[in-house]
Amino acid sequence: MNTEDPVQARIQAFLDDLLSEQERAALFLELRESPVAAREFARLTRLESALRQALHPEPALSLSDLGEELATAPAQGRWWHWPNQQILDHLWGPASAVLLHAALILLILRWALPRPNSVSEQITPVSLGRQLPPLEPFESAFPDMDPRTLMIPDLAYPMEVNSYPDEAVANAIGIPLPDAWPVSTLKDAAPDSKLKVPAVFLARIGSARTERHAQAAPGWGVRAEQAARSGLDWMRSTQASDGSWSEADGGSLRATALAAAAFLSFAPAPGDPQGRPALQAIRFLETQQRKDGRFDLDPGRHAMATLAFAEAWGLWRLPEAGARLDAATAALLLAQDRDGYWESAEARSVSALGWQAHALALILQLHPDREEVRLAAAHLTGLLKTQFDPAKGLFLFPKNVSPLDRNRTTAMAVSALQALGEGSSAECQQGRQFLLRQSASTLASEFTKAAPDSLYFLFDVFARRPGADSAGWLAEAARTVLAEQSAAGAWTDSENRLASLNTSSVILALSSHVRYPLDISAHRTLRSSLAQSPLRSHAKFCADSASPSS
Amino acid sequence: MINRQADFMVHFTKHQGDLRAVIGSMVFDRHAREDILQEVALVLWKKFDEYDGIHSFGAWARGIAVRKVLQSFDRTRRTPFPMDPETIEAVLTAYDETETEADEPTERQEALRHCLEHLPEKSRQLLDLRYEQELKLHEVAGRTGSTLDAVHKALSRIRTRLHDCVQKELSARKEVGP
Repeated sequence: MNTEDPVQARIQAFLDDLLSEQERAALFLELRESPVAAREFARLTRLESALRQALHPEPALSLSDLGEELATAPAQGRWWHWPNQQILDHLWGPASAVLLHAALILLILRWALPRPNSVSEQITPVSLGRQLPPLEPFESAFPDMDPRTLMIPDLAYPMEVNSYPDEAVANAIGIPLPDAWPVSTLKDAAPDSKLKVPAVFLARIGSARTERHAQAAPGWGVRAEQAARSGLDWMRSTQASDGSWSEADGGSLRATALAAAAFLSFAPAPGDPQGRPALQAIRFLETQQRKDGRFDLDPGRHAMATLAFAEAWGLWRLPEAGARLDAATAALLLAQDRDGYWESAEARSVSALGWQAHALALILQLHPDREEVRLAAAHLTGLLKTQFDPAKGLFLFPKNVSPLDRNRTTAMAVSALQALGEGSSAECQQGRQFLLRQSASTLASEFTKAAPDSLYFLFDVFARRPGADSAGWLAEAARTVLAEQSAAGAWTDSENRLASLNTSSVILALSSHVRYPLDISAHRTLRSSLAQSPLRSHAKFCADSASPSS
Repeated sequence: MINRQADFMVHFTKHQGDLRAVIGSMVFDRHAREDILQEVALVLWKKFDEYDGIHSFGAWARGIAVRKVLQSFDRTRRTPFPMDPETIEAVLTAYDETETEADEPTERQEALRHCLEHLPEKSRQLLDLRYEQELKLHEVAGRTGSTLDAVHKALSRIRTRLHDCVQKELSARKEVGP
């Protein structure tokens, strides 16, 4: 080791806490850009820690001490265990106090401000009044325009948008509340014999499905289908009488939404063996939908339910489902924040972004004319691309830095960008290469248990964009997942319990190659429409709406 | 259960030093470091069922340690977090890549102890002030009647010397064999 080396000298000064802000920033830049410097940092910090331990042994977590701690700790995390200091800290922290005050002010405003009753017959522009971070090329093309002017078309079943920070603005739209959401019945859901399956779902049925097995899942597609059917049999046997499935944490919306999507991967009619449980699940989701259109307060869960609902609507055209989907879509759009994220109960959950992207992409396939959805999709695309690290060839999100997280976030982001028509981008290509460098079996096994919804994104990345370089990799991942199926047909969670959430996710993953059009062909339309500056068409939309003749 | 616990303890004990190093590189307060290490140990135990035994336990544990550090900063909000996510990522990768060097913590500790014994008295006193008594650099300077810069340079030289000595000692032990 050479003390004259400037990098080492800077690291030593860092350890002695002598660096200024600027010097510290320079050191961090060096660590990021030079693996040699980073390794030197690791060596020196190890030595520093060893010196501390040798000269002033800290109360070490010895075998016996830690053993006592472990004996009193629950084997699995029980986050609700009371009192939990971390939760208390968060509850009473300054941020919570600010939020509490903001909520109180909103509550007072809600009752104090007059609420118009008239129903707008026109398409009404709603400004969310937020400033976006610069997003090229949109802002350079339209420097004077507020890019967050959303267009909310009139809804067949009008909705009230409440509980959002922009509530006052949203209320000004003047959309009255429905007295109650109607709940569809099995009788209502009789399939329309004249109804054609939308093109986006065509590969789910008949010979197109068989062809897709050969095209995108050679060697494992047929076996995967058998396994998925057997998994659905198990799912059917565990469905509750209200149409839901429960998760380990007691929730049921996420599990039910993914289960509905899993059944719908076979494009069944509502009365079919796969259709009936899906319909009951959709009916359960209907009971969860609030007046403001949200299925759940968590935007990630709301997106999953919206995706399932969009599939059911696309396949069956259930009565009232269109209005519900409109309301759910509007709620999804209104919850998008200025960074393109959706605030989540799980602190900007990364996998939630994936579901939001897939929900937006499907809605755009079903409603290509929805400008406001296209704008949200373009904004999300921009956000995802900014998270790409070109030096490492992967997607990184703040607070998601562990190896498992890196794989999850990269699979999610590539899958989301593919869904949004950006599968050919350099970011996606490098992201795919990063995933291909990982062990297929390890990744599939890890995701199946610990991050089940990420398994769907992982399969979606390669199954919808089949290639010679990834065929073997995906086949190995599929083999791993198939080998983990229990005799009952289900898949287990991280506690080795048969679990509906994991089983649904695996079925979705094994069906990913038949669920939607392949990225290479049918997305060309979506991609080209997204590639046109959304604000360009959006600006025209605004101008048309504002003109007296409209 | 007992086997699982014993299995966990073997892994944890082996990587405890590395965890201290990762946490220590971001948290300068000794008590905060210890609190975080304890939290990390408990989280690792609670999540140990998710560990597959194939991948590096150390890499997994270090990832969790970083998260706990982030949470700790988020919770206290006393100071801005010292490292950005990309730097953390680079440092974690470096730890992963150099993990084999730290694979025998007991041997490494013994080698360090041996090297400490052979330090000149003056150097040893300086280390005692800095690490045993946990004085800040300006306090060490005050005690020794030196300047801050002189203390820093002296400590840097000692650390460099110790690092080289430990490497030599470990190589010599490898040549001799068990």
